[in-house]
Amino acid sequence: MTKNSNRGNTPSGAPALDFQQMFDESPIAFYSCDTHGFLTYFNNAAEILWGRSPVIGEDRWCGSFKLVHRDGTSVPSEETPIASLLLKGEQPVKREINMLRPDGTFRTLVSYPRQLLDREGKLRGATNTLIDISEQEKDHLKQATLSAIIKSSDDAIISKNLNGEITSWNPGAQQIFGYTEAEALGKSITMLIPKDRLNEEEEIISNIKKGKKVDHIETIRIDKWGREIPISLTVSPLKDASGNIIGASKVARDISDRTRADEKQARLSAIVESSNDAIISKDLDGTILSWNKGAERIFGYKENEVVGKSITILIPQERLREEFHILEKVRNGISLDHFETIRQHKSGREIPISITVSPIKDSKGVIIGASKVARDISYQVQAQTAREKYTRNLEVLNTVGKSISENLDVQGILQRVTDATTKLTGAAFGAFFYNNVDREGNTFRLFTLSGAPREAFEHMAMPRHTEMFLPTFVEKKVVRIADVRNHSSHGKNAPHFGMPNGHFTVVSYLAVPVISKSGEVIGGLLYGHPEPGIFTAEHELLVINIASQAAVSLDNSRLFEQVKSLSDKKDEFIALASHELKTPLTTIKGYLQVLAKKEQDELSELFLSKSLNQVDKLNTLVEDLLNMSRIESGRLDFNIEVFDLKLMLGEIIETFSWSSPSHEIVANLGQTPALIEGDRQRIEQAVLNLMTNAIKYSPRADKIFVSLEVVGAVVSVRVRDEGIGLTQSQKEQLFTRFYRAEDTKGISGLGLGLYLTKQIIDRHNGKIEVSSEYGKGSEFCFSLPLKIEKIKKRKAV
Amino acid sequence: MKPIAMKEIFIVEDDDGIRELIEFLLVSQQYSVKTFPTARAFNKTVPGEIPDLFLLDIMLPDGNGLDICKDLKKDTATRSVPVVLMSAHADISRMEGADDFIAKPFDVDELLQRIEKQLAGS
Repeated sequence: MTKNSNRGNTPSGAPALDFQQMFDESPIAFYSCDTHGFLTYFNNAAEILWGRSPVIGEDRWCGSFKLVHRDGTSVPSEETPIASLLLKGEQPVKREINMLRPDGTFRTLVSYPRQLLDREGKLRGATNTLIDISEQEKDHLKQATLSAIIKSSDDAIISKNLNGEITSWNPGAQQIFGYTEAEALGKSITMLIPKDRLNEEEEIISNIKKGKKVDHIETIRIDKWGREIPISLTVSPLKDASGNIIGASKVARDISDRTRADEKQARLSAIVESSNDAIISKDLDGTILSWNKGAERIFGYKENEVVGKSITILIPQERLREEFHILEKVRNGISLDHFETIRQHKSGREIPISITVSPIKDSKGVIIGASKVARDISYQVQAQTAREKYTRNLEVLNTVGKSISENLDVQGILQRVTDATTKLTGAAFGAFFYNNVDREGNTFRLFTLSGAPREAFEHMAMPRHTEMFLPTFVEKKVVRIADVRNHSSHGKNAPHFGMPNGHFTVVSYLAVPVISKSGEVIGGLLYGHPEPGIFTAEHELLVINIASQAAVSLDNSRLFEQVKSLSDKKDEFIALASHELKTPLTTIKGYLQVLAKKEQDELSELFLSKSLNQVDKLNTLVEDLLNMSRIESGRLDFNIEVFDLKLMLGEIIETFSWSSPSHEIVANLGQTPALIEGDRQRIEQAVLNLMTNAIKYSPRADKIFVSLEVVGAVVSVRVRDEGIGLTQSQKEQLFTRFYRAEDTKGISGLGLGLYLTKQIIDRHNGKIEVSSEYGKGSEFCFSLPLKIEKIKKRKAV
Repeated sequence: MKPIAMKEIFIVEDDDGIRELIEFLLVSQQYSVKTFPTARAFNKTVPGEIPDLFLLDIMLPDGNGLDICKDLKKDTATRSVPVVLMSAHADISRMEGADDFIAKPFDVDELLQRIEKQLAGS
């Protein structure tokens, strides 16, 4: 391509050579045309810009391949800058215009069209200067985009120079660090850096200076208010046009949320992993998405065996519908709480579990699956079952225990034990055999039987000393056999070789020894059933328990019998002894009386009288002893009659005046009779005891006081002395058997008087009380119900 | 040879001392007395022999005064003969038809009075 060949006539009027050369070599694209718009001249720059060489006199208006609008549509030729100027007569105007070049690239141009006038001012054509502004345009766009990005970024985008002075600050930076652009510009970047991390910045700067980029370091920065903010930081060197590093751009992202989310995530996964519960997630179709260690442990499958499989592999066939309902609920956003059901282990074993199912939602709240927490409750279920069982057993034991402990009769205890245990074990029959083994070991004695008529056993020999029975009675062993037909000794014993004819068929067999505290086998509880495998370990335990209770009761019963017999013997002995003592007393008294009737000298008379007195005392003591033993054995009989207590008191007082001249008896018995219903002799004894005591325990006084008073339906008798009195502790023990106050050593007695008195009063539905001041005297008061005369009652009605 | 007016009393008492004392007391009061130390000895008496009063101790080595009394009161021949029981056990719940009861040790005078009373009433 030669310039000259392309060149047409020089514009008319233009300086010849000088201008021609100037235009040709100008770096600015320039061309001219005639009044019709046909190109007359274009320079090199224009040729380069257009990317083509137009033909002088042919190309019109412009030498470009195509002029286009910004949207890419073609600009019609009449609207090109030159056409607008020449055809429409518009004023010359600077215009931006886009051009498509033959190679397909675009250029943005500014065109400066001008009318070309000759010296006379006549229009001769037009010129156009084209300036390529494509590069500027591109830069501008880039700038604008970048700026918009920087402005709208949530990240802090900061630039700084190598001194660390902040040179730019975007709204994101303000958002994160709190400083406004105005506050931050010109400040040192170190204001964002915690003191302990200042060296970090030095390192960053040193990297930047070397032209190295610092990528995504996670660190801490501080905001305007001193709060620490976890950030992710990217720092890149800033270079000027010539490539010199002049600073750094810094992009900081606040990762607090991410940190929190990460921590939460980490924590959650740690919990999920370490949980003993199975934590499983599944989608809405029931496909397993995740599987933790707990799930592995409970269900036996490894994670890789189940993820992607259907959850139904865990569900027993008959419970598949359950899962359908569960998924239905999950789809509706409903959680399922602690639903107890059965699932299946890899091995097929069923596992009782408690499950909680919750819907899983994505960030938009759409339900995408379910999380399932399953807890193995085998232990709880077992514990619960065991608890229920034990409660039941305990109740049975209690019932049996109560009935056998209430019972002190051996036959009763054993019958109840046999009945209860036969029922409990589900045995067809049960029996208790006493351990009466003779030297030849031929018999155990049937004592009680349950579940079968006794006659069915009676014509048969007792179980013999065979291999099956021996351990229970001799070695104290519990024997439980699921099927005796398989037992080694079965059918080998003469004379029956198996069960005797007519005997109940026994296949299941259980035998438990009843062992006393002393270790002796009292007997054995034996159970039988015609079917095999009836008796379980639990039955065995239960019977052992009851047997041990029964043993205790039997021991107690035996002990009670022994004690009772001892006590009976004692009472018998006392009765006999007192009887035997009275016999010689009778003779002594009789002969003394015979003697006393004979004429005597004074001294003999005195001695005889004293002797008779002592015989009476001795008799009273023996009588007290006898009465005590009668009370103890519950054999104190009463001869009940109605009598006047006032009259009786009068007679007693009169007798005392004779027999006890040491004390004056001051009596105040009132005027009205006091009829009571009771044993005259016993009441008399009670009064005598109180009066004798009053005299006995007031050796220094010379009076005792006896009074009778009727108040309402009760008669009270008071016997008061001015004697030695009683202390509080003495008062408390006064009415107990054989009690004698400590300071009464000089005064005779067995300590039975007040005991007997109280017993007599008590048995007459009365009350006896004592009030006393130590050293000053005592007062005993007993009260008895008055006999309401029937006649009076009738009258009253 | 006993005088016709003499009342006869049979005593059953196992204790020698008491038996001798009572015998002494009653003989002193001009009663005719026959004593038996055991129930067996008493039962051996000739059936036709009937005293004016029986004085029976309750506790006997080979029997019981109450049982003897019961038999005597059943027998038409002896039914109307007064029976007085004696015992060291002060309380007697059953009397088996006996006419009186004397507790041991007894008062000598009281014993004689009660026997006299029974004989006077028969």
